[in-house]
Amino acid sequence: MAASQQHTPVEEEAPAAARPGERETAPGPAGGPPASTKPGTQKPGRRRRVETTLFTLPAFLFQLSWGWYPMIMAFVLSFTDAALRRPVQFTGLESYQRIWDDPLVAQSFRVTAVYTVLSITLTFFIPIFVAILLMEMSRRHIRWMMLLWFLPLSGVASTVLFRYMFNAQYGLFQWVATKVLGLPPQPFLNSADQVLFWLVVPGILFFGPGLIYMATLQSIPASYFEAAEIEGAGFWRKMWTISLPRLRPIISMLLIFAIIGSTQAFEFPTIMTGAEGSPGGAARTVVMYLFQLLQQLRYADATALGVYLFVITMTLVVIQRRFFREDPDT
Amino acid sequence: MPGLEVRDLVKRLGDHTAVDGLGFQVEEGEFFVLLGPSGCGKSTTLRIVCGLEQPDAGRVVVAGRDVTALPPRERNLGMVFQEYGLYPSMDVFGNMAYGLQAQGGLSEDEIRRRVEEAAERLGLTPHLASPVTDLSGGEQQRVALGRAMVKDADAYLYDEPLSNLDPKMRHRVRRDILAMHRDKGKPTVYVTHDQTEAFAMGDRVAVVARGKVQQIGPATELAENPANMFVASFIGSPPMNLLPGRIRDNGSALSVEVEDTLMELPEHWRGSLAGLAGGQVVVGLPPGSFRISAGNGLKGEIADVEALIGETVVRLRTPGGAELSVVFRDGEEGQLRVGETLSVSAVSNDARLFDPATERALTRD
Repeated sequence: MAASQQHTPVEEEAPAAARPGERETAPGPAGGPPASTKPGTQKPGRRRRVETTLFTLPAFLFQLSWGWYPMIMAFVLSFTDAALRRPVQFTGLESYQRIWDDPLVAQSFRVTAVYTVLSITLTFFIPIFVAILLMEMSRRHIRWMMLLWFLPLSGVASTVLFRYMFNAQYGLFQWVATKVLGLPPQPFLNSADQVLFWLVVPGILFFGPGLIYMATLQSIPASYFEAAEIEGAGFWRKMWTISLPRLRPIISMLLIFAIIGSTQAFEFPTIMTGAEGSPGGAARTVVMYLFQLLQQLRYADATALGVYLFVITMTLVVIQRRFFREDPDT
Repeated sequence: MPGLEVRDLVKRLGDHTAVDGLGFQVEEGEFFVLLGPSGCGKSTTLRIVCGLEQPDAGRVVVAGRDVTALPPRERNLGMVFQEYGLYPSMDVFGNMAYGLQAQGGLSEDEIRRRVEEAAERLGLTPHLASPVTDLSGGEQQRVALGRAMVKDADAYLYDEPLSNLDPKMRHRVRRDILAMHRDKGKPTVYVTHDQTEAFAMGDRVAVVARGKVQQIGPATELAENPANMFVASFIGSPPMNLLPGRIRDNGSALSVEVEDTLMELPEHWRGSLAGLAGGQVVVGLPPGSFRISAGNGLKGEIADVEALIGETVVRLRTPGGAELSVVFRDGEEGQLRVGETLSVSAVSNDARLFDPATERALTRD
């Protein structure tokens, strides 16, 4: 009874419009059965409407003040001089021109591009196959491997640990390189050519989304795999025909996240290589340079750089969506 | 030796013994049904035959080859599942060709020819290029059937393939399965909990319960001469009435006393009754063996009356507290009302006797 009344839109509209003053203040006798309220059919509808508004309002305000407003203002700010102590002057595309001509910006985009490509190729696809391989193991092994592989680790702690491991004098990697493999001493993070590669390597070991793949794989009905096994399918064929098609939408979504994540890389390279992205800015990503601009109080230039990054990221995401259409079957 | 043989299978799942020394033989070209209530071990048995489960003991021999230790893909079997087991990312053709492509050894042309032929026979030709997810349940199950049909398997297995289909579709797929079976001439093992299905399709039916084969035989054999009390209480709708009774033997005539009613028994029971302790038996009376009697038969209060097409099922509650199912097929019962008392007598030739201690059927001389 009550449910059908609540979904009658005509009755929902009428009282709310008739008594607009009551809407915010009196949500009505909460929890009371519809029969106890005077007009009967009208109260639940109105209360529902008020509640819906009340519940969505905080989120809406938060999104507005911390999400859309800063985003729009940043965009607006990029066309001004963003002065702090005097009235803001409109400067048109000046900041954009300055950023365009800045050789350090070009360098930071090159760094970010290499970092993104490296991190997607080295860290994005491995967990998919590891997850599929894990599912082939016995239940007991799966549980142990999940625990080991996806052990929740503190990001800062592991980052600091990796800084030690990469240390050119006494780090673990240096020891492996010189003592175990018998190579000459390696520069690791100190080499402009290698620094980005080594920054990506820890990502191979720490990869949380693998759990999402495993959860998806576990949701595939066992009968698919069983039927395939009886039909004579081996591991690879099962993977291509069952596991991967099922993972497609998830892979697509996580790939977007991974692209956005690496184009906006900041914390990890900063902690590992310093704010300058040494050596010589070889590890300075776009966001790191943007942060540097902010510290120099060049707000207009920083926002203009931010807009450039936004446009590029957006383009990548759009391209990705084109190539990686959602599977209509799942 | 061709055919399919399962020998002394044992499968334990934790503390529970799902399959307990189960065995049977299926001839080449025979349609063999495993029938039993859910949880009786019939599906586990089938999963062991196709290799999805490993038995704790016992052997599976297909076409003279011991396949017990082989993985499913090396057993060369065709199987149809209850949930179809189709691949939603592929079209009908891809699904039907899946097994042939996975096994290799056949040319693309040959695969195409076989799939198209199977699709034609199953009425799936217009759907070959559509995604399987666009198909109805019955069509999907026919695709699964087609996938088994295109193969040259040594044996075909069905795990409750009709359970997810509506009654009309069930008949259609049933005919398709039988047609395919006749065509292939290979051993077929078909698992179901539905007696009608089992009897309509199976050359022989094995009744399975508690992980064991209780009895193997054609439908009439199972219905008329159940080997034990389980089979008697499971087969038939309604199944045989099982009532405790006491043997009376005055030397010249043999009779059994059921709830104050004496029923004469044919002489051929004498031999097996001789060894029975205390004269206690369980009497099995088929629901169709009753006639309305003048008042000297079994009496009971009518608990409910189901008027079906061509027959009426009446349930009686006897003064002793037993329930009695009686089926009338000739309309002799007239108008019956719930709450009335009815007196019936059974045709003594139809009665079956069981040893209450072993639950086994007693044999006639």
